[in-house]
Amino acid sequence: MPDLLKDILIGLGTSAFIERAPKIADSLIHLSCTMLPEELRDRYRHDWTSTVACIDGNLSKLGAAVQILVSVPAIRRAFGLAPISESTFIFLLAMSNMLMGAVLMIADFYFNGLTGKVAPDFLILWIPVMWLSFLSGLVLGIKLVWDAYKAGSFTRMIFTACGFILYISWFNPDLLLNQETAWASLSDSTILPTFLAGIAMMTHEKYFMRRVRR
Amino acid sequence: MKPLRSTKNILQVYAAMLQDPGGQHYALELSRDSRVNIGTIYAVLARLEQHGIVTSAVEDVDPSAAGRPVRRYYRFTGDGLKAARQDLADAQRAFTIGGFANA
Repeated sequence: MPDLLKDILIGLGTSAFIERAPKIADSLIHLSCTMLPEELRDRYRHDWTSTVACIDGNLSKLGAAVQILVSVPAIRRAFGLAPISESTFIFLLAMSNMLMGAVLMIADFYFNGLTGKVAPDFLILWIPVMWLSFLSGLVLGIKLVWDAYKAGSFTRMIFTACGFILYISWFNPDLLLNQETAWASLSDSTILPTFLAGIAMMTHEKYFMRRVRR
Repeated sequence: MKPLRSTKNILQVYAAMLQDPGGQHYALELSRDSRVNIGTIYAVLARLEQHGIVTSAVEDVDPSAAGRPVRRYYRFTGDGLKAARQDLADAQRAFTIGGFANA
């Protein structure tokens, strides 16, 4: 790509980002509010919105919103609450599951040419990460099904359980025990499905279940 | 509730508020004066409010007439003012005894 074109694109991208920074800041404030209990949300939404509105500069507004988001656990502690709420915990769990899936997918793609030549040490390094990815999904799945069961929503429970069973069936940890087929199992039967299941579960929790709760 | 531990951020907020002990302060002003970032200011003020050191109230103005959003003002309670002065004095004394004064 010619340097001039690259400079123009970078310039356009940067200015578009700066233009959008206040909107991103608003979204971050909204996100911060959702991490607080309901009785505090209105108060802090008003306080934070008015404070950020009084700050000059789009990027400074965004910086302030990031600082606010980071301070939410401390505010929760000040009110005698756990630093993160249960729904945030689930969200972080789903995110970490997806992130690990993505990291493994990239690692698999990168080292694919080396399949068969890779020393067992490398697999020893990756198998725990793979298991961690699997276990975090497992915990998330159990939590979601249990919550739906407790809430007494049959449809929600069926939806979540189906997603959970799909996740378990896609993941085939037995193949990992055989090192000769370990790479094949990583690339074909685990990584992509794990990643997709992570996205599906997170979407389900963030949008479908929230809509049902309303 | 756990007793309030006077952290560096809390002391900086006390120092900023004690410039006008009877006055009303808003979060952004305190953030600038105390050099504590805006996120941390809200956490500090929440702790102080929970411990009865400060109280807060939203000002009663028309935002369009004032030309700015409505602010929440914080002010010391009677006991809070004494506690803040005491904590700040203790911190200054500790710093003087154990810090640069003997260097």
